[in-house]
Amino acid sequence: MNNSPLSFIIRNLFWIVPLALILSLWDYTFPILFKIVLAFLIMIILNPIVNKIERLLHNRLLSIGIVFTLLVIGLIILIQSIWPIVYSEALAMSSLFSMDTFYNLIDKTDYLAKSILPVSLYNIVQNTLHSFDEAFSSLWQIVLNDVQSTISHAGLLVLAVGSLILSTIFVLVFAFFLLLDGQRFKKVFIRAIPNPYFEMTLKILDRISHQIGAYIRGQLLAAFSVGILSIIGLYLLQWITGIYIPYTIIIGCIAGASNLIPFIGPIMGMIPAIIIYLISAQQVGLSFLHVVFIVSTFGIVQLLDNIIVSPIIMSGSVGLHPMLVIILIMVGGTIAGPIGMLFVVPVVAIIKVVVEELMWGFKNYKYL
Amino acid sequence: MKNTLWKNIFNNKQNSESDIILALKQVPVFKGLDNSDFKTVEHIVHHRTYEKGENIFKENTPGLGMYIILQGNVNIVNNDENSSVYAELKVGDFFGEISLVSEDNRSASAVAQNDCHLIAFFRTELMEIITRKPSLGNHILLNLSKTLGARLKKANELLENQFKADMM
Repeated sequence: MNNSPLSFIIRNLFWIVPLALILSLWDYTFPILFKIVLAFLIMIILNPIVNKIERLLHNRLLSIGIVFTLLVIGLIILIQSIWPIVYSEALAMSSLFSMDTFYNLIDKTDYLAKSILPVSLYNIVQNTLHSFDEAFSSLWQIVLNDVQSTISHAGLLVLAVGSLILSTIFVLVFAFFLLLDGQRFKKVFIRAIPNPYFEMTLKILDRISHQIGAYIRGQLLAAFSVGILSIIGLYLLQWITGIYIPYTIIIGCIAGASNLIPFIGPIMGMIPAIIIYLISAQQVGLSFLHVVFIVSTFGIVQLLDNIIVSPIIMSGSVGLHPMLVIILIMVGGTIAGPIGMLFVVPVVAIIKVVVEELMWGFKNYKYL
Repeated sequence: MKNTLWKNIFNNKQNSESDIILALKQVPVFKGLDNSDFKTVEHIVHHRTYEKGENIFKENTPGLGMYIILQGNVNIVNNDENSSVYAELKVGDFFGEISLVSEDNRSASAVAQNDCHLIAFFRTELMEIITRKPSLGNHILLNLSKTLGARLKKANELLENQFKADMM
């Protein structure tokens, strides 16, 4: 075997050339890669459903066709019925991001503290609140900037992937072919793997795809169920107690999305509901008991998720230490704001699975 | 890593579809399948090319599945000091089928005795077939059970004969 550097490069041209092309044309390749990643996620989510239908119909193309038809119909219904409500709620909610809202919130918090605390304790709290007033004000300003930058980043992202409708069509087409010919694409990739690493690569790919597939499906289903349960819970709470919590659907979406963050996500999900409750005009009067009810509602949602939904979908924990999660959220927040906070844990969880499986493969196939 | 790498990438055209299906038809694991089933299996298997002396798999590494010899010869050996040869396999023979059902490590190594072209059918692919086409998956599993049962019966007979010979 010739071990010269030139020989090494020639043997590895099959991955060096594509990688070099992708990196050198990054501005052009990124939107395509981004769409492929999205399509891959859709494939991971839809593959078990397609497999189930294929078992009945014995035809994969027809099964994918049925799933995609249902998906497109679902998207159309979503866009026509739910999207206008979410959009108008989001627009109305964006007007709340001002310093006036902050002072309103401080006043209401002050009122609640006064109503439940003894005078001596309330004075201490009030003095503390006043001394921290400037700090809280800065914090609110940071949150405002973060939210605004997230919105502008989201806008840039949409621009990066082209027009939204066109991008959606591309992603769906990619997902369609990944579902139809995924096995063939995998075979083409595997064919390029040198003989000594052939079995190891297949084994590692198999283990990684199983674990990541289960993790992503579990996380998305858990987020979806928490979002829906939160919306139902808040509507029920308003109906029973007579309190007014506007933007319920947006709050549910935030609660669902923040559920992607372990440990502190559920707490982050209930904060918008409490803030919206406090700053909204209440016909039944402001009461600390209502705040307790809101917290309890989200507590019940989490309880239902933990004892019913999560065991069914078996989302599984990826075993990240709570301290590491907090550090990751801080790093994610610093790098990419709220979006970074939201996605840093799933991304690191996926990287952890990949590294663990690579280590397993190298160890068991005697390369370590 | 030898020049088999480029052969593996471009070897798709080296064998016509019928060659692969003909080879699959010789294997008891795929006995009784109809043409559409063979097409499904043909699309799912991997094709590999090995040079003389190259390891197909090594002893004590995780087993993934079976190989069918399309061209060349393969020796099944153990890695002890004597490097005993357990079996010398030729075109049409298959090996490693226990790994289709067992996740245990390989009990021996497989080494190419000359330039070989093999078909690989792995547990992942079998599971994929079971998920997507349960009737085909069940058929293959039943054949596999028969093959492993026959092997077990043969091993028992050998042990029995050995025992009788020792007693005499």
